Parts: sequence; C-alpha cells; structure tokens
Amino acid sequence: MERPLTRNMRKGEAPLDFAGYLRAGGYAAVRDTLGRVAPADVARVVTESGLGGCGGGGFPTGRKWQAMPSRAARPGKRYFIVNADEMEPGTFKDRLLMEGDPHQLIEGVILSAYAIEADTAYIFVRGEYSAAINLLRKAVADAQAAGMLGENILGSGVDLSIHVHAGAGRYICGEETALLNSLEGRRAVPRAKPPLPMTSGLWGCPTIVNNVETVCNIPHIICHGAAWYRALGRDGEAGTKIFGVSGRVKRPGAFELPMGMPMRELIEEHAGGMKDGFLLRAALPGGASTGFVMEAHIDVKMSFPAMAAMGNRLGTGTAIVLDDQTCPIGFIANLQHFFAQESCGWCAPCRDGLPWVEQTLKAIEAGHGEPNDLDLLSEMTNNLAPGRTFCALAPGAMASLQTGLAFFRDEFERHIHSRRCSWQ
Amino acid sequence: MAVNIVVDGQVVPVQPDTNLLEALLTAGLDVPYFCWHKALGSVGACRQCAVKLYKGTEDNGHIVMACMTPVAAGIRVTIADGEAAAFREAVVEAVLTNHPHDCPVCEVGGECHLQDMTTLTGHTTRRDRFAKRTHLNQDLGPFIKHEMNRCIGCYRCVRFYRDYAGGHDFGTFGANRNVYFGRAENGALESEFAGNLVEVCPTGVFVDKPFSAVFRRKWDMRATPSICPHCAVGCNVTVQERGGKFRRVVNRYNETLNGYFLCDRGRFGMGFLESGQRLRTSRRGGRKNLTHGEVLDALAAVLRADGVIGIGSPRASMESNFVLRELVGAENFHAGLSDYEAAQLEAAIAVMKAVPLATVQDAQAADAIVLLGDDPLVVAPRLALALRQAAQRPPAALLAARGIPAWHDGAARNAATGQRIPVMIVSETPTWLDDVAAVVLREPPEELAVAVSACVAGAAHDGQAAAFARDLLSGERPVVVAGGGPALLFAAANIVLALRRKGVAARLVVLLPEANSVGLGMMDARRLPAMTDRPVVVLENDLSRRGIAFAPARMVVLDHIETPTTEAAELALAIGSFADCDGTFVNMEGRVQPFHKAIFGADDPPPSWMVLRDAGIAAGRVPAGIWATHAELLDAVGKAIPAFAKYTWPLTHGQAPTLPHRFSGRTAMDARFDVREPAPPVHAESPLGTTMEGWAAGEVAPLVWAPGWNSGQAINKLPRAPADVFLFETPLQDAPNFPIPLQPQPPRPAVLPEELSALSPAMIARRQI
Amino acid sequence: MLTAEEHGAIAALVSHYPTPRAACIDAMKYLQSRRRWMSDEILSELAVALGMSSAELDEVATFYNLIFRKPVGEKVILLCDSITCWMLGRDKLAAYIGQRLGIAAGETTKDEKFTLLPIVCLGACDHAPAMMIGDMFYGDVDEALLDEVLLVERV
Repeated sequence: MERPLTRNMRKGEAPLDFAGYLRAGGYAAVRDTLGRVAPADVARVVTESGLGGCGGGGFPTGRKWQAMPSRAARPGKRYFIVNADEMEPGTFKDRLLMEGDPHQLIEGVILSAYAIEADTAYIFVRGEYSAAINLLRKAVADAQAAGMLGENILGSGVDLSIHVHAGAGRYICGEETALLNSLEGRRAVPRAKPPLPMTSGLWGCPTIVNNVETVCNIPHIICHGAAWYRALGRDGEAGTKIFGVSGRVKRPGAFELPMGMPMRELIEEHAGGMKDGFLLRAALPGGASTGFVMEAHIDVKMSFPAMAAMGNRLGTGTAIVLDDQTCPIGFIANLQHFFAQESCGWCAPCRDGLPWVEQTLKAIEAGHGEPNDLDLLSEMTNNLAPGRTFCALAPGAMASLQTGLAFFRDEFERHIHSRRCSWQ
Repeated sequence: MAVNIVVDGQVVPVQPDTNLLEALLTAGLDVPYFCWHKALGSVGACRQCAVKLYKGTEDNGHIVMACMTPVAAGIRVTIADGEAAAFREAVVEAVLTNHPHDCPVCEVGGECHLQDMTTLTGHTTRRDRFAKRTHLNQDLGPFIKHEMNRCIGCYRCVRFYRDYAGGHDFGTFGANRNVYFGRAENGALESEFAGNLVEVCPTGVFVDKPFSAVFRRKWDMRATPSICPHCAVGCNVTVQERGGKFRRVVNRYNETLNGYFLCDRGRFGMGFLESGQRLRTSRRGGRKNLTHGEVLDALAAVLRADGVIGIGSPRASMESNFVLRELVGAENFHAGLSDYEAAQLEAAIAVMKAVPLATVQDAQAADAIVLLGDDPLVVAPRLALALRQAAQRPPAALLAARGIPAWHDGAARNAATGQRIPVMIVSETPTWLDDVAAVVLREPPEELAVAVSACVAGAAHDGQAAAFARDLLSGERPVVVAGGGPALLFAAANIVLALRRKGVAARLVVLLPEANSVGLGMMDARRLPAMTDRPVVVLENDLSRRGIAFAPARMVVLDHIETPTTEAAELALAIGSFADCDGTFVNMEGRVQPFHKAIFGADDPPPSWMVLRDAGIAAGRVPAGIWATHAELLDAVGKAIPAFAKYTWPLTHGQAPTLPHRFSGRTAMDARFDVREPAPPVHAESPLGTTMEGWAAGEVAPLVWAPGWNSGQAINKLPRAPADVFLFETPLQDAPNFPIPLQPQPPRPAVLPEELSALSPAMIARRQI
Repeated sequence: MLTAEEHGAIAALVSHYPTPRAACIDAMKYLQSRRRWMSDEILSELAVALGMSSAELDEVATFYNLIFRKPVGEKVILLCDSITCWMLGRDKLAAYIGQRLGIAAGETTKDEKFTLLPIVCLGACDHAPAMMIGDMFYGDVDEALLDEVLLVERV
C-alpha cells in the first residue's frame, strides 16, 4: 500500500536534506503550482480530496481554506500557521513527521500558504521538540538559500517567509486561538469564536491554522490529485493517517495506514498485540481527550464518522492502551491531573472544576473515596460539557471520565467500598 | 428602536445592538454574572450567565452564555430552565471551592456581588472536602488592600486596570487554579484609577484600605449623593458616614459623566474631611472657639464698612459666591485667582457660551480627538480616562465589517490591532495619552491650533495642520480638548466653529481646574487689585497657593481648612465643607450639580452663604428675611444670572431616605454620652431625609440597593436618573471666530496638587512613596 | 545586566515579528539557555528592551512550563508524568533519581548540577518512559540508562 507521508523515512537514518528531498521528487508540486495554478484551484483540489484536520477535529481542510475572505474583501496581511504544538498525552505522530521528513512539511507550508494567499507563515513547534526545531530551521534556511522560499519563489512572483517559532510549554497552545495569543507574545488563553481566525486572527489579520500532519498531506494531494488521495482510504474514507499505539503492546509506535482501518488491526497486527502476560481492557483511540473503547468494541473503524457514531472521537488517532494490570481509576486520575494542570485558568468550570475532579479521583484511587463522589463526578461530566466551558480542553478531559464512569463503574465502587486500590 | 424577544414565554422588548445579558438585566430580569461589566464589555470567561437559547420551535434549547449572545429580533430564550439553572449553580459552586469563609471578617460582606450571585443561584452547601489553593498577598500601597484567597478568577480587575485604564504594573500571573492578580512585586499601584478595583472586584480581593481602618457595613452607613470637589469634572459620588465621621466615598453612576468609575484623587482625597488641617472652630486674633453669635457679630462689624472687598473662590459653591457678591456689590467682588487663572477663566466662559461643549460621555464617544495644551490626567482625570477609551476604541466601521459587536471586548481588541481613531496631541509637556495618540507634537499648541482652524475652513496648508484638519473633517463626532491660556482656548474654539460651519458635529472640552471654576466664572468677578487698604472678606480661598502677593491689612477668611491665608487672617471663620452642607457646583461641561450635606455630627458648620447672609442682615447690607430658603436663594441666583434660571433645587415627593432600612444602633451609638434617645437630625429643605423613613421616588436616589442585589451592581435595577441641567445648551448660531490675542500671556503659576485632596492622610501617604 | 551580545540576539529575534513583544518567549528561552533561569533583574531588563512593563512580561513568563522564575541547576531533568509514561513506571524512576541525586521533584542538587521537574507528555509515548535533560531527549528510560546518562550529563 502507498504510504506517502512516510515514504522518505528510513528507520535509523537521518531525514533527507534539501538536495535529497529534491532528488526524491520533492518540491515538484511547488514548481508546478506557484504562479501557474490559481490559489482557489489549489484549495478546491484539497476540498475534493476529503482531507480532514489531523489535529483532532477532522474538519474538511479545503473548506476551511475556501472560507477565507478574498483579497478584494480583505486586502492586507494574512498568515498561515502550522500547529506543531503536539502535547496531547499519547500523541507522537507530528514528532515523527517533523523529525522524519522536515522538507515535506516545508513544501506543504509553501503550497498551503499559496492557496490562502499568505506571504508569511509560522510553524509553532512545542519547545520540547528541540530536534524537530533544529531540523525545521535548517530546512527553512536551505530552502531559502535555494530560492524555494523568500521573494519571487522560483520566479513565480510569489513571496513567502517561514519562521519556526518554538513554544515554551503549555498544552493549551495547541488550541488554535490560544496559539495565536502565544505567537503574539501573550498568555496562551483561547479567544472566543466567533470571530474565527480567518476573520480576525494573528494581529487581527485573516489567518489559517493547520496541524502538521494535515499540511504534510498537501504536496501529495497536489502532485497526485484528489481522486488518488480518496482511494488511499478504506471503506469510503479518504487518505492515509499516521495512527499510533502506546502502552503495554509489543511494538508501540506510529504507523501510516489507510484512514478507516479497524482499531483491532492497528493494535493486534501493527503494534503486535499486548505484551506477554497482559490483556487488553480498553483503549483511547486518539490521545487523552478521547473516550474509552472497550475491548468488546475495538473492531470499530479508526475514522472520524465511525468514532462519532459511538459517541467517541478519533482525535489524533494515536491510541493509548489500558492493560488489565493498570488501575483504571489511576489511569483516569493521571489524565485529569494533566488537564487540571494544563488549564489556562480563564474560565471557572475548567479552572476550578478539574482540580476537584482530580482530587476526588486521587482520593478514590487511594481508598479515601466516598459514595457521593460518583454523583459528583458524573455531574462534572455535564458541567464541563462542550459549550459550557470556554474551549474544548475540559470537555476533552471529560471524555475519559464519562466513559470510565460508564464502563468501569464497578471498579469505582469497589475502590470506594473496600477503601483500597486492588491494583496496588 | 426596540425589538421583541421571548423569555420564558413572555415577550420582552430589548435594544437591538446589545448582548442578551445586558438586555435581560435592563428588562429587570435576574441573571447572575461575574465577568461581564457594562463598561468593560463581554468576554465570556466566568460562564455564570448561562441561559438556554432555542433554535426552532421543537428543540430543547442549548446552553449559551448570555453575555456573548447577540440580541436578534424574535429569539427565544429561557432563564428558568432546570438544566441552565443547575449549571449556573455549579459555576458558583466551582468558584467557591477555593473561597475562604471570610464573610464575617471581610469588608465586602453585605455588599458583595459574590454573595448575591450565590444566593441567586441557590447554592448553599459545600461538597468539596479537599484543600483550597491559597496565595500570599501583596502590599499594594496605602489605597488598596489585597486578599487574593478570595479571588474567583473573573479577570475584571486586570481588564479594568490594564485594558481600560491603560495601567502597566498589574497583571495576571501563573496559570490554572493558581492564577494570581497583582503586581510584578510589592509596591503601590501606579494607576491614578487603581481605586476602582475596589468596586470592579465582585468579591473582596481589593478593598478600600483607608475605609477598612474606619470600617462599617454598608447597611450601617448613611449614603448621601454628592459631587466630588477635587476638580472641575464633578464626578458624582456617594459619601458615606456613620456617627458623624466620614467613612468612604463610592462611585455614583451618572451615564453621561463619570459612568462607573472615579479617579483616586476623588476616591481617596476626601480623607481631608478627617484631616488635622480642618478648620473646625472660628477665631479672632488670639481668641479661639468663637460661638456662632460671636462669629456673626464679628463678621457683621466688618461688613458694615464701606467698600469691603469680597474675594470669591472657584472651590466655593454658587450660593456662597453669589451671596458674597451681593453683600459687597458686584464692583467689589473679585475672583481670587492669579492673573493667568483669571484670564483663562474669562476666556473659557466666553468660549463656553458660544461653542457646543462635549460631556465626558461625548468625549468617550468621539471619533477623532485633538488635545491641545494641558495634560487632562492632571487637570481632569476622569475625562482623561474617557479620552483613553475613545483613543483605543477600534473604528466602528472596522468592527461592523468583521461582524464583531462592540460589546465583544476580546474580539474588538484583537480585531483592531494598530487601527484606531485619529488622536492628535500638541503640548509642550508629556501627557498621559501620548501612548495612544497617532501624532504627538511637543510644542506650544497655539500656533498649530490657529493653523488647523484655518485649514478646516479651507485654507491651503502643508503638513501637520492640514493632516489634523483632514482627520477632524472626516469624523462625525470629533472632540477638541484644550487647556491653557486665552489664545489657546480661542484657537480651539475656532476649530470647533469651523468644523460646525462645515456640517461636522464637533464639540469642545475646556480644561479648568476647580470644582466650581465655571460657576465663579459666570459671576463677572473682577480681577484682583494689586493692593488695598480696605477690609477684605475671603471666601474659601488660599491666596498664597495661587502666587498672589496680596496681603490686606484687615482680612476675614471663611474656610473649612487651615491655610496660610486663614493663618494670616484677623478673623478666621469655620464653615462647612461640601460634605457638611448643601450647595451647587457647575462643572467644566457647564453641568449644574447639587451636593448635599453628608456628615451629621456634633460639629454642624453652616455653609458660608448662610453665615454671610446672617451677618449681612445684621450689618444692614441686605434686608431681613432675604434668601430665607435654599430654593429662594437659587431663584435669586437665577434672576441675576439668567443662564441659571432653569436650575432648581432638586425635588422629591417627600424626602428620600439616606439610611438603609437595616441601619442599626441609631439610639445606642451615643448612649455613653447621653442615654436619652436622640432625635434624628433635621435637614428640612433637603430632598434627602436623615432617617430610614421616606420614599426614594424622586430625582435623587441615595441608596444603591435592590432586593437580592446588595452590592453596587444593584445599579442595574434602579431607574434611570433624570437628565442633568446644563448652563450652556444653546450656543450662539453662526458665532463668529474669536480673535486671537497677540500680546504675551500672563505667566503661569506652578501647578500644585489639588488643594483639598492633598490634605487627605491616604493621599499624603501615597505621595510619600 | 544583559550583555551587548544578548541585546543583539534579542534584536535579531524581534526582527521575525511585527511587534517586539511577540519575541518575548523566544527571548526568554534564549536568555535561559545562557543564564539558566529568568531572574527578576533580567526580566526587567528584557521587558525594557521589548517595550513591555515588567508586569506584562512576567504575566507571560509565569504562564509557561519551560520558563523558570526560580533558579535551576545546570541541567534540568524533565521527567514525563503523563499517561503512558506513568503506566510504564515513571514514578519508580522519579524515586530512583531521588535516591541517586538526593532531590525530590522541584529540587536542585547541592552542587547545582541537576534540577528534577515533572513535565507533561513529551510526545514520545512509543518510547515511554521518556525524559529530557536540557535539550537532549531520552526514551525507554530505565535505571541502567539513568545511571549512564547521569554520569554523562554530569561531565
């Protein structure tokens, strides 16, 4: 099967440099598109390909681009931003892409910025990804030196400068409007939507923010077309996806596979199944802000619609496996600790509710739970539902809690009644 | 024009360009909120104002934040829905998880918005058994006390201090439940508007520190509507006392003037009432503690002489200045100002009579501003704050094009990065608004001002003047602000007149220094003579601070503070300050405003005008029975100064109570001095009653309170106050330009800190830092 | 006192953005790479260089995990405490580090070589437990690797 996103990656080898990437067919799409294909047509192809946002939302990428105001309606500066702030626990796919093939991302940025007619792009990389930051900075410099960036790229009349911005460590920067505030040198507190970034984004200018993986798909879609991309998926889904598995499996890792493949195949075939002596109890399909898929249901397809149909989310598609020797309460408590700590502190239910949730879970885990705690936790899953909080951080936190309360109810009750954790 | 929406099945008319929360509150409905504030706009942070919005006729509705939801004709909402109500209670529960059980010892208890919202949502029982997060407090200076554990994270403080008031030394630190609101380090808050934190904070994180030292519960204090005496803006305030002692001042909402905010000089300057510099007893020569009878005799003796000179004051009331003038005769009544101040005031009055003036609200709504001369922050702080709002407001057309309502505060600020209304400043010294101006010129403003009015009129010109003129002409509501001598004021007036002739509705602000500068200016007072050997009666004026070298041999001074002038006087008579009696000031907008007796104590110093009247009657200068009531006195003022005739002493249907209905201890308070039940003080002519009896249905509403709304937020529930009276409402049509004087201006005396507030212990402490 | 070289580097960072304050995070990380942490003094100077007040800059500095407003050692050990690393035994590793270096989370060794801090998911869950020491990433951490690494990093 075709694996466009990882085609240049070889285990144990350094990523392709500019010359190598060029030799491998890279930047051909840039050469053939800039100044030759209308930006609106580029966007149209991306829409037709069915590519969805890979940061967890799955929103059709081309449609997002096409909703940008025209240059006539909004003359002036506009920005394209890559969200490389991968910090969702359990997620490690963007690291793979940036460390494995940095020029692929650069090429994707050039084409994306062109499609939305932006002449300035920022790649916002989480600060801890020092290797990726260095590789991307070098890639930008090399591309610039070769005339692939800067003024009048390859004589097309198109300008683009890319700046690689390193973050300073906050999960909420992965929320696109918080990312904008962080880039502006502010606290990374999200902004209210509407207005959307395409209306009032970076410094008030029209802006599009896309995930790393989303952008990496663009050169391939432009090279080979929408129909080709659609055909890569399974069961009506489009394209490939970098899926992943972590936890007590034999081969944890990231795998480029067709969108829509079953979760069981991902875990048992590609990740080699559970380590000896461990059994699969459940998995979060796409990072910490997705809900439990119990073992009985892991034939579900890894696609946005299939996950939504079971009341869950595909998220980033990097699965976290819960084995039978890990306390589910402790598992959920660890997740809530993450979310409580990473709350930006802007809105009351998240800022003050998540620590209460964490403290309650830790108490239950330690054998100090009380019977009313479960009602309280259940209320919290309502209080922190989408729309009740200012952004999606807290609703994401509630995914594991809500499904956990449903599927592990007797574990919770046992902890409370026996006043101890049977896993310790 | 109102539109109809449906709330819990009832049709409710609301204003269209507003958000749902504001609309519901204005309609008198109770929806809890924390982070929304009328002046600060909506940000949607606290999630407290959740209601349900229906899409179709069949759906169950979804929860929205009312403050972030635009009003549209026909929308259907429910406040009462069980899910929304449960969520609102959950939000209160969440913010209370870290809140200390401070109510009994917290200064804000009993007037706390958090208490009110907790009750409103029905939350009663704490379920959180875990440890609260705690903070260390900062020393924020002599004005504000800091108690961070009480914080509920509504972010109003930082939004006011930084976004609204432009302060730089206050912010939000940390993240998640540890967010902290304070300074980078201990130290006095630098903003001149920091005191508003006390009223902006819905709980007790920021507390009025001088008040804390003389603290009483809101329900245990008298509340009297009054006017701040510390500058010519005349912000509306409420003065609170108990036991004859001044306690504190809080903002009194006036939509077209100070709105929700005061400056620190107003809020903390009134401590002068309790300063050791108060003149509380009268003296003659070495004899102290004159009785009232002795005072009248001594003053009458002086008034019997011929040609007594009367020196009025821009900080004394209309009534007092008028009576003095009547007693000594217009030809002997002098303004008590330096030459510079006198020339400025004369020019100001001439201009105000001819040119449309801006209110503070007009200044805030301006779409182009020219600021000439004096720094408004020093002369008229509250006006400066209004100008800052205008200067940093994104242009309305830009917001409209992006579909961003003006009340959507975060979006409005982000949308307009770098795009502002034109603000042009010409002054020799830095101003507080320099950082929000497009153009700042550091030069004497007169010449440029003249050039601008010529350019507006059509003269060809290069450079700055032409650019300024273009910006002013492209606005719909430009405001010209001028503070300086006659040449500048006339030039500024000419700019406004030129704009008006071009069909642009421009307005003028004239910066004047004192609470009743305009009132005095209407009295055709003469300038001071160089010297005299005639007896002089000085009304509430310290001549020494005006650089006036005028040392009469026989001087009588009426004042409520000790000054070098009272010390040099042969006869120093203690009279009431603005808080001890009733009177009227005219502010720099020409707005006529009454102040009312607020302190009812053992001292009961009479107003100057009453002492002067009685002594004048005794001296045979005026007939007995003249100006027998305050209302009659104002009639007389109106006859002498026709512009005043439309102003009458405020009326109510009976007296409005100044004591809350829960006021306690009235009869026990002074039992240690006299066990007999004291009769309530009598203040017959006032629209305000001195007890808790009465009816607040007239023009004056002393108490900001409504059932369930014990804090200052009760203002949402009160009816609108009637419009104020303005002296200068009908400027001359087709007024000609003012000729610009060519001769050199009188030298300007050094600008000293405002006289009364400088005596406040809190202000003295602040300046020492 | 900021050196001339530091001022130059800050100016270069500022050139990537339309407003100086947008470079504040870049600038703080740069200064930290040279001075380990952001002291009050350096923070004030940087604020002036960027046209911000100290409060405005400190608002940003105290928001982010990787900006240190208290002294840290030469090498900061960031030990991931998120879900997969937790499942695969990071707490034991923290205890082991504590034993070897004599510090608990949040503390610095007496010789100021190492500070131990928790960090949220490092994005290397397939190599859990994961940690960073300074800019160096280490995956599949166990006691043996710790022994080796702490020795190497100590030099």
